[in-house]
Amino acid sequence: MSVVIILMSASLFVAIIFLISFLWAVKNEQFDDTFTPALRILNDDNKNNVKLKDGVDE
Amino acid sequence: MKPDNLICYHCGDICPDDTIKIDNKLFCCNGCKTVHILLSDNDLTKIYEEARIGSDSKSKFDKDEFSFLDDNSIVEKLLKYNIENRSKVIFYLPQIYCSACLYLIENIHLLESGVLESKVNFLRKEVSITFDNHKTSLRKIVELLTLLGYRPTLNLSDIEQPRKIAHNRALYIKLGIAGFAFGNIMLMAIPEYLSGGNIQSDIRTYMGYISILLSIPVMYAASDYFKGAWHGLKMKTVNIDVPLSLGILVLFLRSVYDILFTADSGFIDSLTGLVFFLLLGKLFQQKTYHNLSFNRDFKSYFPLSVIKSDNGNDKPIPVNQIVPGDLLSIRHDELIPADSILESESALIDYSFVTGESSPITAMKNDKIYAGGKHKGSVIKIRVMKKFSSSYLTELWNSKLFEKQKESTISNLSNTAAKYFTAIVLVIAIATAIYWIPKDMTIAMNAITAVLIIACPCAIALSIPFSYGTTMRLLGKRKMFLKTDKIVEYMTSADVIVFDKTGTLTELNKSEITFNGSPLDNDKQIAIKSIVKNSTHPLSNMIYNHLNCETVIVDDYDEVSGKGLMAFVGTNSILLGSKSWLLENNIKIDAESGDISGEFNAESRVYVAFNGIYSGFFAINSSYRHGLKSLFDELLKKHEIYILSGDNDSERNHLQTLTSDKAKMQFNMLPADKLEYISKLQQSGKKVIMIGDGLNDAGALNQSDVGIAIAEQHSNFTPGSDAILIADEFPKLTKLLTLAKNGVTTVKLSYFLSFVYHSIGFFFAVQGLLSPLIAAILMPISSISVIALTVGSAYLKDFRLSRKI
Repeated sequence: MSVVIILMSASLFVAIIFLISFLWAVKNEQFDDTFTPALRILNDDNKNNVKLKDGVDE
Repeated sequence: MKPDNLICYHCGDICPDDTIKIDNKLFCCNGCKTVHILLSDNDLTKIYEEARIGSDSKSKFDKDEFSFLDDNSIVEKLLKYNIENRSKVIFYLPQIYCSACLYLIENIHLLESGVLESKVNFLRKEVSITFDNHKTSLRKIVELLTLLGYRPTLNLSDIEQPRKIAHNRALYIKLGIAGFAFGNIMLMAIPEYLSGGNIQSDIRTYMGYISILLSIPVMYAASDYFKGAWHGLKMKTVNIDVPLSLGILVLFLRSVYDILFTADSGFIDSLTGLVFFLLLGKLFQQKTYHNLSFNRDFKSYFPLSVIKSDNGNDKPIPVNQIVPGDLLSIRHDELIPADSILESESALIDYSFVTGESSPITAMKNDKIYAGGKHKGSVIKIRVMKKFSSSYLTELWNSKLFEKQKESTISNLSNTAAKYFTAIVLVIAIATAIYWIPKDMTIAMNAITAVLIIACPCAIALSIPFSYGTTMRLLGKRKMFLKTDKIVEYMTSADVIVFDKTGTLTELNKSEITFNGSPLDNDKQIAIKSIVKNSTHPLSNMIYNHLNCETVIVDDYDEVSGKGLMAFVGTNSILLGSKSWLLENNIKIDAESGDISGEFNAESRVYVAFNGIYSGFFAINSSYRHGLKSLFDELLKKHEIYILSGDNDSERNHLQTLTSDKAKMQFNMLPADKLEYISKLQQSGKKVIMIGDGLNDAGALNQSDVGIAIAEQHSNFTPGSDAILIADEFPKLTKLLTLAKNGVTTVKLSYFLSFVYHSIGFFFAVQGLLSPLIAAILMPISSISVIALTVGSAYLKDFRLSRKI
């Protein structure tokens, strides 16, 4: 078996990881609003800021 | 401290005095102070670095104003979901405008402990709040937001048909998959092309299998086209999706066959590239204007609750629960929710919303007042006659006439192209089959599938999304916002433009009133205002609103309809009205200033005489938008123009001058008349653009082929329509139409271009000579050149239009 096949498999494997992370990001609503987060980052986190994060989806 | 330095630390308004303060910080009212303490106690004072919080008048609310939110039946409908103790709600907060707003709203859980999460979508101006419904309530949250200056808009439509949020998630996923497959398959195909096919057979086999595996999810990505084609065939029409799906399917099956059973490498690279470009076009096409709503109906204008007086107790009740016999209190600028009888002495009702009549109407006690009118002035009491759902307005809206039968949003151009194209392809395929089958079965199969592959009209399918999509964006830059990109085509095909008058050609609330003659002293002003108060004539109302003084009691009041008024104030006799009314009463009118323009002027005049002596006239001008004359001149070159108005025909002459006497005009039209008028035009084969503004035009906007709503600002409430145009840009309508026209011309041009590509492709295909390499070159080149042509042409036209002033 040629080494090219191993290399291609490896590159495909890496590409699939990126595809999966892209799909995850879309499902995780990261592409729903591409504007607000840019503003949100300007605000400092509050010291007593408690965030809710236990997967409440619509 | 100087008085002008007395600025409220919280809201930025000027304070009446310096009595309310904490640590040298001044406040205009206790409300602001309370909110400030609330914010500083919770470490949220950073908001003041960026902004002052909204003006206090907006943030004030009556103690019971939101008590209707204690009603579970309403709360249930407002909530997005409500599972056990956790509820979620989405509010539209039009006041959001900077990152400080975001900061404050996203931190409201510090102010209201029951709030679990609040997340702002800045472009939509929406906040979604998740809260613990045992610890807090919807009412508390709404009150807190209102206190902070962000009063949520709560309309009847929120509970009747909740706001739908369309996401692009599915398209992103499909695009991601197609892009991934396209890139990787290309990577594997290039070595083969470069080596001229001399490649080790085990590598080729391996790459072939991987390509097939990668292309299976691409077939999922293309599923929309299969669905579209299936729908089209079920409706017995051939749309553009039919040849597309056919091409995609044949490409896939032929490639799988080639890879598995022959030494050829198939067309998988072309297939994935094709799907990727098509989906890219789809993404490009989907420009949505988040903060605009194109699907409003009258329900968006009605509040959720009204104040019901029950034995002296005022209590808010949901608007759809009012029943005949209820006594309601209506405050200034509130809508009359249902047809009612006026119980107060008198009221000024503005029906411009419903009828387009620009002047408010005075109603007296026991007069009937109709739903949709807006009350101007101090609180009135009304007795409900009909249920909300059976009021005149609601019935009008629900009538059959208002149900639109616009065929579809599919472009006519692409449908026509698809029909011819599919027919041509089938003829070529059959001809190829007839020629080859008797000679050589293998070549025959080869050639037929190749024809179907080349027939895949990717360039045709791409030209509309990219051309209309770009045009739509450029129109958006010029402040015209389209609902979908197909509107570009409808705009171009129209040959009739119908204008509404009030609010469209004229600017709302901007009648100019001037008094010509010897100046009126205060006593005379009071006298005039007192007299016109008794009249319901629109001009009287305008003068009443124009004069800024108090009123007194008048004696011997007499009104002759269509002529004028006569009355005594104290011992002074006063005549008000038309020129002939004064002449009839033997009053000599001296040469008036500015009378020369006479009949051809848009102004209405009210002549005044005191004690038998003429003293001057009020000139009342509807203020027309600037640049109308040249706009009409331009439009009349290619379109017929109609003007429909709910008003009387007092301004007919002026409009005739504006339109060089070429426009057809209709006055005194009710909303249903306008709608019917437009459908008559359509029945006579015309394509109609309707341009209007108020709810009274909503039916006509809906009925027309393209309904354009005029809005004074972005945030204005406009009726449902196909496009929203910001009023300032209205005189540039011809440029916008030119831009749209260019979009359609470009599509036709790119059809020709792709016809050339297809001819080249067919030349190889019918001979059975279509190699994967030719397909892989031809397909991307045709797609990319069409994209470049359409996008480039739109920008070039836009650039040329901006230089031509």
